[in-house]
Amino acid sequence: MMEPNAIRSLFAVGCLALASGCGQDLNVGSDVLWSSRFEVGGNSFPEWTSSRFGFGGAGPVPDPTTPDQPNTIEVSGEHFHPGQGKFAVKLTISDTADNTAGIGASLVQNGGLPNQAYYSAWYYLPQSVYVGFYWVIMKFRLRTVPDDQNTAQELFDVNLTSPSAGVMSLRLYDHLTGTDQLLKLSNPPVAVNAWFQLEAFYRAAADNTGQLTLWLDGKLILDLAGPTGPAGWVAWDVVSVGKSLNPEPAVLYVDDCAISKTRIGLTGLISE
Amino acid sequence: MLLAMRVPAHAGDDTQKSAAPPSSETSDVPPDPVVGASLCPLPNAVWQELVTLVPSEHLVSRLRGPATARPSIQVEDLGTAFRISVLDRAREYREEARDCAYRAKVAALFAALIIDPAALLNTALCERPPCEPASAPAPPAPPAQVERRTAPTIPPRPLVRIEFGPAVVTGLGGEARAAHWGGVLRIALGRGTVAAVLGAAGLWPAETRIGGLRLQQWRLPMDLGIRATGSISRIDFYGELGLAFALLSERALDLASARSPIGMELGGRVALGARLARWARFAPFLSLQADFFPDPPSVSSLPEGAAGRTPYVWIGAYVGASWGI
Repeated sequence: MMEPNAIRSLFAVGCLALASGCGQDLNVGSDVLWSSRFEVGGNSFPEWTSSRFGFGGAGPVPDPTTPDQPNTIEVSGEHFHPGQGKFAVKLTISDTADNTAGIGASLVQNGGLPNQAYYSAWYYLPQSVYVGFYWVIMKFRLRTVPDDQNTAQELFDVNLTSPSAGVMSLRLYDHLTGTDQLLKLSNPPVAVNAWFQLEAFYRAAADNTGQLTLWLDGKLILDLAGPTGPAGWVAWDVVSVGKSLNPEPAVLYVDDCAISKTRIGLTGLISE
Repeated sequence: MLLAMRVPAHAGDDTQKSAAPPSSETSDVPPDPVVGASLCPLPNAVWQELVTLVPSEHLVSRLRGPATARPSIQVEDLGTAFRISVLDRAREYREEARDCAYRAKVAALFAALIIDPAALLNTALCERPPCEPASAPAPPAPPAQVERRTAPTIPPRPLVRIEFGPAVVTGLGGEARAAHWGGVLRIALGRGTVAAVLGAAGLWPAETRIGGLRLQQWRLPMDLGIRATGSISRIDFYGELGLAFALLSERALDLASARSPIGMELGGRVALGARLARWARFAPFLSLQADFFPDPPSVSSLPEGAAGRTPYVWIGAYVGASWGI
């Protein structure tokens, strides 16, 4: 009696003999609308909007080749999200005590996004940081008139917090209400010195069909329904913009950013 | 049955010298005792068979006797049948295969039963001439008996049999079982118990699900194998064993960007079938089959990754008509 593995091996040999594609993978397509894995090399970030802005449009992100600039964005191999490449982007910000204009290191998807989609990014904090005021790491923006860039407004900011020494957590600031939204988990823990995933589902709608849902490492931490931004224009930014952070420079690594029609989750693939 | 078995024995050496019809110059037998424009059987062939069954003196006396208004035996070739007339008695036999030797035997047997049935019985019971004369002539056997004893054997199966008809095939083990409808064409080559068989089916695409992916699935299955056939009454039953392979295409219906990659399945196949009127040129058939693929293609997408495999087992049912050549 032949073992199942032997039978499979025989079939595999037969398949090779016939030069056929037994057991081949049929990739039938993708729900991933956009992705950025920072694997192309250099610091050009072609997947992102070409004109990168600082928080609130107050100024450009400084050139990383200029040593005097306090904030830098650069592709790095120091830390990367395992399994899907060997590089990540390193966001470094300094002089945050004086950051009255909200300038940081930002990667921007400035419009051209669907009215509803899942937004995912992986983050790595090499050390815990005391957050004196705010530290935004993901944000959504809106336009009240989609075709008029002068009507752009802040909408939601996902912030890192430091509820106690050495402990990092999250909060969501809602610019429409001017308050933090209550999370399903109080002070959800954010990993330090390890990769964590932040995924959001955002539906732009001026009525109650609007929605923002957040998952931290696959766990639901916020499910907000109600008017968000009017349909037609959505901006999504992966950023490191902080005020009163300690120690400095505050470093944040980001990898495997994606926008998808369906949930990405912890095991989702964003490229072939 | 004994009568039928004896006929070939007498067709051997012992009777060769009297095989040719005697001419009018050298015999008392009327000229051209077996006449007719038949090509199958030839009159001469009927005569050759007849002289192995009835002693020549009996033939002479009966064919020249006062009761014979038409002192000859007539044979007619009717294509898929033939007609034999002897002493105002006639019988038509249907024989589609046109086996001329067989026809000659049947015609001679019929003639012998009319001309001298007692001699025929003696011939059947006698190993070697001379045989004891029959004590009393047996009454002529009714023609119906002749037909029963010499019922035509079933002709051999056609060398090539083409089968075609509608088909339904479905995969087992998937989340949603998709029924693929279409048509099948199969060709069996060989007359014997074992024949080679080649088949292909054209199937319409069907909607299915693999790992949460809604897919439109299309298959073109083909197979190559052997068929073993057995018969019961008028039905051929057969089983098939062989290789199965299929081209397979999957197209995602709900993904933001969809592709239609084509893969291939390779495995084994078993089938069972039955066919009515097994000797007829056209006959209905029914077949059930199962294809087994130990390493079927996997289906994947982004961001889900591997969604699952296409079915390991496909079962199908075919029904239709077969045409023998």
